[in-house]
Amino acid sequence: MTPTKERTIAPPVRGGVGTSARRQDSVPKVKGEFAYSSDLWAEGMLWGATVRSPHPRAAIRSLDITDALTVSGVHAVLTHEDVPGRKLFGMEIVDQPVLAWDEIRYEGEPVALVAADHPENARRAADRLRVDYEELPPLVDPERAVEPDAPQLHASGNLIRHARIRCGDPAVTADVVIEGTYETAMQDQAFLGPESGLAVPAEDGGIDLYVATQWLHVDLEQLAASLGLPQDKVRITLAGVGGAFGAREDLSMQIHCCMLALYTGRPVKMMYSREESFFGHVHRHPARMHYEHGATREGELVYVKARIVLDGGAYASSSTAVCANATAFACGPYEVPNVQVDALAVYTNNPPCGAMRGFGAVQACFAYESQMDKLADALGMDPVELRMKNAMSTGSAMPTGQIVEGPAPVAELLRRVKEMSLPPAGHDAPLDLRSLPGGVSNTTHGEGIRRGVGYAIGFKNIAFSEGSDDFATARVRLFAAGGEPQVEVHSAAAEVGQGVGVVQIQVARTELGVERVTLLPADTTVGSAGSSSASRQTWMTGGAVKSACEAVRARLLERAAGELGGSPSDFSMEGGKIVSQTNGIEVSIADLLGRDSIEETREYRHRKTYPMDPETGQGDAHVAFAFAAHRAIVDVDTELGLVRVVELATAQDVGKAINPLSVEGQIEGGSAQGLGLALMEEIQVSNGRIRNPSFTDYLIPTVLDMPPMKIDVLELGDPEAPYGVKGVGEAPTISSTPAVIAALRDATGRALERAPVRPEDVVGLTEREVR
Amino acid sequence: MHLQLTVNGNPREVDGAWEGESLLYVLRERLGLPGSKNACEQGECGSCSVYLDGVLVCSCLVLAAQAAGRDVVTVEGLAENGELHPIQKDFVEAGAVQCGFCTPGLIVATHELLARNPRPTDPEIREALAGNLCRCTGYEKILDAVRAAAVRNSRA
Amino acid sequence: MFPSRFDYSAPDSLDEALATLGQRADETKVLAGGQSLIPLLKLRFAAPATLVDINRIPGLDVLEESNGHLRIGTLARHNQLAADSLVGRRYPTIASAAPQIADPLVRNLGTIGGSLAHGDPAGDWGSVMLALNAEVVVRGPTGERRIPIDDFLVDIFTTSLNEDEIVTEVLVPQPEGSFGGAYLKLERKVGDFATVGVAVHLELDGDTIARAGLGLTAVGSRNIKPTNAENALGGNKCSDELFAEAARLAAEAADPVSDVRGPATYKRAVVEAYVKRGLAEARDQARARAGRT
Repeated sequence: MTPTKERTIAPPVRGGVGTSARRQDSVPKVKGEFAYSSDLWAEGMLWGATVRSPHPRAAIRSLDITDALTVSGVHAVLTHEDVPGRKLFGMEIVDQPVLAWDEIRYEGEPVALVAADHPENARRAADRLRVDYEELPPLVDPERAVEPDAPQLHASGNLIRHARIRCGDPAVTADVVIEGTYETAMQDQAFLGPESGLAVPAEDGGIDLYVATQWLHVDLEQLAASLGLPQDKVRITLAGVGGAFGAREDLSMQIHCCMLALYTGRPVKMMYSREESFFGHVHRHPARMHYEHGATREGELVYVKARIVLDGGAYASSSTAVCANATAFACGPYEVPNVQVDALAVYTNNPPCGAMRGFGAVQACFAYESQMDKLADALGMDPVELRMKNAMSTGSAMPTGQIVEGPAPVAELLRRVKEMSLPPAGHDAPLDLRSLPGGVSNTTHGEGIRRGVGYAIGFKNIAFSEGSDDFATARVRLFAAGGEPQVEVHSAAAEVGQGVGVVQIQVARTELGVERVTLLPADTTVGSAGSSSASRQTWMTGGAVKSACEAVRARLLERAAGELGGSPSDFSMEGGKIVSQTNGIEVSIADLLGRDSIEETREYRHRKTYPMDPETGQGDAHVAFAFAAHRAIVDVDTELGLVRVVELATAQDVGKAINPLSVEGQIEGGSAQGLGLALMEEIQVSNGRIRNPSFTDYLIPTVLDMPPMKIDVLELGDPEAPYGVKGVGEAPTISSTPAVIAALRDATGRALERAPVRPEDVVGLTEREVR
Repeated sequence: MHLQLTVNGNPREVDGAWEGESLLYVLRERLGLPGSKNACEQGECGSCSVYLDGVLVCSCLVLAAQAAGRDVVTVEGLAENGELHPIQKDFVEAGAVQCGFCTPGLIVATHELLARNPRPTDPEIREALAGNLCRCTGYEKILDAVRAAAVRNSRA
Repeated sequence: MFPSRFDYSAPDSLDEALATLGQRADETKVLAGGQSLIPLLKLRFAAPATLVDINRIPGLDVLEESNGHLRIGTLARHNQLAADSLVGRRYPTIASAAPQIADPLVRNLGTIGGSLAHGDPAGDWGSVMLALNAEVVVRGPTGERRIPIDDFLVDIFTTSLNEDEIVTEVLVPQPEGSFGGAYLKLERKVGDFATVGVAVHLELDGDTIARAGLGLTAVGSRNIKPTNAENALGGNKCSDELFAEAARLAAEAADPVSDVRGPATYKRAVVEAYVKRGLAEARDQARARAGRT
């Protein structure tokens, strides 16, 4: 160790917090070398397949696997009898069979498993499984499901949760009253990387699973229980994740794949096809929402009454939490003194619904923002002015009684999107058809085109709510190699595409002043990071990495004090060096460490939250809130009902942009999913059956459907959060849907109370009965 | 079936495949080249885009048997001597990669577009890439990447 | 996602292909571009015992004018037609339709012959060829026949092609006088099947319609030729009223069903709007052509 006395001003570390540092996974991804869960391979590997029910509701009379076992190349055919441990799973409510045994509750429910040497042989065996079903009439209307004489789909009844808000005077009256009934359809997350993974039986009788998921440790708990293994015999490593958006919160093939591997003693790979994927994960809850708003003539909100019915489908998934969110955010980011909300999540025989980006806030936002436009119309007010007049701000009380403590720039975001420049009103000659509704399909040369503008704002909680013990763990190790300090970061945070990997690297760089930071693969050998959900990972795992780095730094400074004399507070870290503030002596980290390393693990927790009261909904249920506003500009072919979104503009407070490029990417991608729900995305379910389980018929926006975006990112800094961050991912998905539909109403004058708006709705030729 | 084809400039042989396997399956499961992706396997998403005798195709809609004796280039064949192809660099720098599952297909499709039209306009880019679905980015950063590549072409 | 087992052959001559086809014609499928057939095989909507791949047969992708016709070889790819300058100058309906088919990737492999032989009422080429009064040339064990497109298309996924025959060419009459044409398609997104498509072809003598051709996509059990609408147009002078009347007649001829792509009433309304717009576009093109000569 050779301390020197030459002081140099250290340049700030490159690629730290606040820079658009390059993602650690981007180079392997562009080269096609990044290993997604569907890319895995092992010597002697078998292929697993799932046998699914073709009926939405049925009793299983018998199951015969004899024929299936005779197919050449087949190594196993397993049924519910082969589930080694708990026969049910579920994140919030353990109500879903690993494999159905007596009753089928949705179309596509898993009934049996096959392992074979080739996926085609597995499929053949699946075709030869004999299941004798007694078909039953499916219960598909969520309103009907809560009637007392409805058939009960679960022993607990059909009501998953009834959340309420009772705030203020229930009998209050208002000058102006408007009502509306709104619907949002079942949306699919439609991630591109299919559910898949590889399970490898281990010599200790345990199992190693490589899988794409959002939360390794919640998978681990459920896997161990159903496999009948202690948790230390189940090890899960995150494989490359091809998008998630909520659809990987619940288990899909995890238990199945491990069952097959443990039974055959061979590695087993499972990979859903796109069609199977539509049956293999939960979707966004369809909602029916009846709203009544009362206001003064001057446009002050007096009351909101809402009844929201969420179709949870066959199993609970995260319905209770989705229901809580729809309730808490039912009135929007407005100050409303008197509120009555009833939100119900119910079981039906429709596909199970659970988490999707926006999580209950999306549905409510479409309804309350539609109501705000309707109210503005009734009052003869500008819709943005009405919103600004009622906007909540820091210190406002939510209808749940919770005081909004962090930044709540509702009026500011609205003002910003309103003031952004408008795109040119007309179209340049010669007309480029690609810029018109119908696009490349040559449907109009300007006939019937009308332009519309619409605004919306939405908000949502960040991180887990209602008293859950929400924490994230990170381990950080500082060491020297080749004379240079290096940092290793290890957490179980699931990189699902959002960029939490590079966030952790950036935090470590900034906290330790070391540029060379390596992120270890996420697995269950480190503590839980919680889920890559609820816009929480940057805050939570970012916070955990920051804490662990601080602990490492403290130990390093202690070591410096020990070596060089003085107290740790005399030293600071600058550009890979430790510098004494008292005498200017500096020493490189590498020299100080020698062959030693310093390692610390920390858990980060946000402040405590509390459940909403079951009768009144009162309670400090949330940690913080994210806000975003959108302006949409559309051209509508009013004769054909075709729509071209000309531009989307948005303003969002992100607290602090740890990685500005990633923040923009989240905002653009989230807005696209909201646009999809506004115009095209719907799982069409008829009598319990999905009619469009393919990318041919389930439409997600293409590059021709997405308009250019204008983005205004505010960094107001939440005092509760590390660096002031707020989650970014969900807010843009919430307000883009109502903004686009508001623009359509502006262009057409039609009510458009259902998302998505279909071309036939725009021209008034909807046929309800065929849906 | 015994199959001979050229992949990324190298002659390759496959034994034991059967005719009904797609070119995509053969690349991914028999030739150890999983870069071409399997998001739909029905020709709707573009994630499996490869060159077949110089023509951009969905490898999921080509039978293995059809590929016999033909020349295939996948995303793994674009980088040279470990150096990223400039288009790959553009995707990295523009932030066009999130989950990345659409990325290989989009890079091959962009490569083909720029080979045919080195300086495409925005509408031309959108039209050419309309068969490649992305669920993460909203396409803005992908457009930025392609624009950057086009600008580089116009300087060259 | 695998097809059922099949035998595969890729002959390099048409005679050889016909011979293979003749052995088990009822269990054999011809593989052209494969962009419709392969998805069907994977979904097991089709499970042939044998596939005859005709892609290695030379000369089946001809594209030239001769003897009063545009000859389009059965293996002409959609993108080949979209990019061809002769087609662009002289066959506006084809040039308009080609870049609208499926998506850019599928257009690189998909063929006109395969598409027509598939007999999908949501296929675009059937309507285009109806509007243009094309003929389909097929070869079988007993030789060649020329089938008018209206007789070729029979019903959903059914054509008058015999099981032992192969489509070799499509013959499109060369346009006369000043002409114009367009294909209008409503698709929910790029790559989707048409919700509705309308093909329009007009030949004008001055401002009098010498010939009018129309074809309707995805609004019946096959592509529809609305002859009443064509007859109403023929011999009359172009006018908005005439076009509106033809559009009404075409909408009457349409027989759509309600499905995931929309309700029948809506589809019928789109037919009417498209015929009106398409005729106007074709007329404007024809007038512009007349002005140039």
